[in-house]
Amino acid sequence: MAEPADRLVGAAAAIELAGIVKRYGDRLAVAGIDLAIPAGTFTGLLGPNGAGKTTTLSIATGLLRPDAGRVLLHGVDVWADPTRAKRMVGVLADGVDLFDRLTGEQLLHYTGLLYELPRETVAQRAAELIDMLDLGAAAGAAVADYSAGMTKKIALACALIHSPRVLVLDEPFESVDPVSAANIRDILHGFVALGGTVVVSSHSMDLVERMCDHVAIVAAGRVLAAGPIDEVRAGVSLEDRFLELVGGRRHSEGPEWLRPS
Amino acid sequence: MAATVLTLLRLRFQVLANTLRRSPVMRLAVIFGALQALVLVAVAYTTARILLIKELPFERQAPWVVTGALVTLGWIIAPLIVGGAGSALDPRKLARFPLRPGRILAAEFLVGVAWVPGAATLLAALAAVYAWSDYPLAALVAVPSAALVLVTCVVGSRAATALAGNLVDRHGAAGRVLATFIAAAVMLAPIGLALAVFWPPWANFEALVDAIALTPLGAVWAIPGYVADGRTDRLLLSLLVALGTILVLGLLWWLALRESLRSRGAAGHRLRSGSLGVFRLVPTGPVGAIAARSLVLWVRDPRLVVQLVIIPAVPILFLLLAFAQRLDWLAFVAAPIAAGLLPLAQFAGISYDGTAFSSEVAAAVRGRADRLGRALALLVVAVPIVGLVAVLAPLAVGSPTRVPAVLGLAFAALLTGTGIASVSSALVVVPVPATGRNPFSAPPGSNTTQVVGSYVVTGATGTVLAPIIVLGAFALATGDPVLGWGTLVAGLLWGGAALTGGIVAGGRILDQNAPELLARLRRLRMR
Repeated sequence: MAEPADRLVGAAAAIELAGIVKRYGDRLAVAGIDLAIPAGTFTGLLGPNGAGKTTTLSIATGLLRPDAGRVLLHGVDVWADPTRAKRMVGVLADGVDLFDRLTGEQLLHYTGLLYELPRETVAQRAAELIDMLDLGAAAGAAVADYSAGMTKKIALACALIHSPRVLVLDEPFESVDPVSAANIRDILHGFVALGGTVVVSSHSMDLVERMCDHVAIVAAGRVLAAGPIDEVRAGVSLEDRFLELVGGRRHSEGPEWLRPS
Repeated sequence: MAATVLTLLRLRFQVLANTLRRSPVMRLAVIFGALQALVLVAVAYTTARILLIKELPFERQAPWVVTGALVTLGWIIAPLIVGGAGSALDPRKLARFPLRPGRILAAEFLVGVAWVPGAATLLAALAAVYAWSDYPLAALVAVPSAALVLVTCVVGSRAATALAGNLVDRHGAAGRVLATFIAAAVMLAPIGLALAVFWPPWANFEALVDAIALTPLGAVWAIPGYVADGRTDRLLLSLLVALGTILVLGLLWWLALRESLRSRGAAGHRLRSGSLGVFRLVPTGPVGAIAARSLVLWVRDPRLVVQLVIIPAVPILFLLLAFAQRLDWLAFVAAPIAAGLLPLAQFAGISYDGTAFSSEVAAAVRGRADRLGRALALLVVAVPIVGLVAVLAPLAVGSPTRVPAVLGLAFAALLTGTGIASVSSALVVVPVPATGRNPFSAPPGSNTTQVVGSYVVTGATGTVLAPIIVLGAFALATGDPVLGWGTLVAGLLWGGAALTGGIVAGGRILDQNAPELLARLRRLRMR
């Protein structure tokens, strides 16, 4: 059981969302989310398609203004003091363009300079990130010519370059090859071991179960369950628990006409 | 065949309808565009009424053919300059479906015919029926010839778009410049030739019109007039050229389309790693980062390269006119107009970032830093060229004393325009082709929004610039050196103030609404 102090959140929370609501027209994308992600955890945000994961993460990182609610990053209000709050987060947004006419190396330098890092620091970190993510051969090519997996990797490198305390990664493993995925996992685990906080969104149970220590299950814009993974799992497998919470499972064998003969 | 074409056609109009449903601005823009088209059609009929009074058939033929040739030229050149023949049927989007180029071609053709510019052109061309209503046979022939006019215009514009898109894909910036010059050369060469042969034009105007009636641009417009005139030999020649033009343009379009269905995405130009380019030169910090990024994109993003061509193209055009017409003042305004046009092209500059703009929102970059970075990049590109033109153009017409005034006007226009664009691009987002798409294919509705937006921005720039324009006009008219130098100093101060104000105001706006701007960009990208 978690300590009461942990429940009260506050300084211990890396990300604290309180009463977040977001509508798109008349569609309610986030319907009042309260969620505290404790510092130093590796949290998976699980949910079916259209659950509001991307919207929630965009709001948590200050990319999207909620209609109501408050976002604190290590106690700093994202909308009141965006500069200080945003310097603490590294973001890998899903479905967002990069300036893909820049080369991978230029993109990293651009991002580093945006965060006001000194040029030497940028150069050194860019070289290390390129090496670590195995992008050396492509560093001088335009990002537009990268494969989907390589694009993901360079975007991840951009999220890391300013050495954030919190990493928010939307679908970081999509279309990444197994070797790079393993490398990325190592990097992320190392980051958490040193006291950093990682939040990844995914709809892959396996991945979350293997990597994360905390999990939050979101559906239809609400948090259905959140906490340490074993607590949420409550004795059954994460997938069973997820399906039980989210519902909507169909027991059929697919449509009549789908019979390869 | 018909079913596929119909589906594609329905798809196109569905996209348009959805766009209109989503955005009141777009609805306004379309209404505005339709009104504009109506006015043009009304002008055509008024002209036809005036022509009807003319006794001699030639008096009707001359203005009709010359104007007609210009209309056709507009159809072909306009998408190359403003970037957009309103095609939601990007062949590369359709490449994964088993469609033959012929069907896309047919669908795109029908889309072009059945939309505001096409309908307006057809109606205007039908004014020929009225203009020759006292010659029954000519009036009758004017109906099918109006249809031919429409076919020529639509096929020509699509062929130019598709060809230019392919060239840019393959050769980047160079391809873009090449495309414009090839199009201009191919289209203008016959007219230029006709002008050269019949110079001076007023000496033998009739022969000149007959020559234009034999060019691909004018031939189709000349048909009713020749019928009325009973000049069967000229009629046959023009008809031959008109049909040949359609055939050749259609073939070129088909070839380009087939090519773009095959090749998907741009060919990669790989640079050596470690070649950071301008990123090595700019100062550290967000301003430097944004300036360097913008500069790289000015060179490597075909959608922006398209806009850079304005700077050399406008002065060259003006200088040619200045020499041909012996109008020195055209040479004086060349540099200021080119200087004002480049910032104008960026009036909604953030649209070209797409959701990549999120990198700035994520890093909490101050609005002022963003504005300053973009303005610096624009000025680094524009100042040397504008300066050069502003010095050379007055010299070319033998008026060195007017150099300071022209310089003052040009820099004032450049700085003020950049200042205004710094504000407008913090407010306005327009649909633009996504990165890597044919830069000449515009998303539906964007032409009209672009046009309306640029009217507003031009108006604002003109208003802010008015005192300098007045001062500069006096200086140019009198040729007084004191006034000239005064214009230079005042222009730099005034423009500098406008730019500073624009950056501060635009930065403040951006600080407030950057997330909302990003949300709008995201919605645009989702279509």
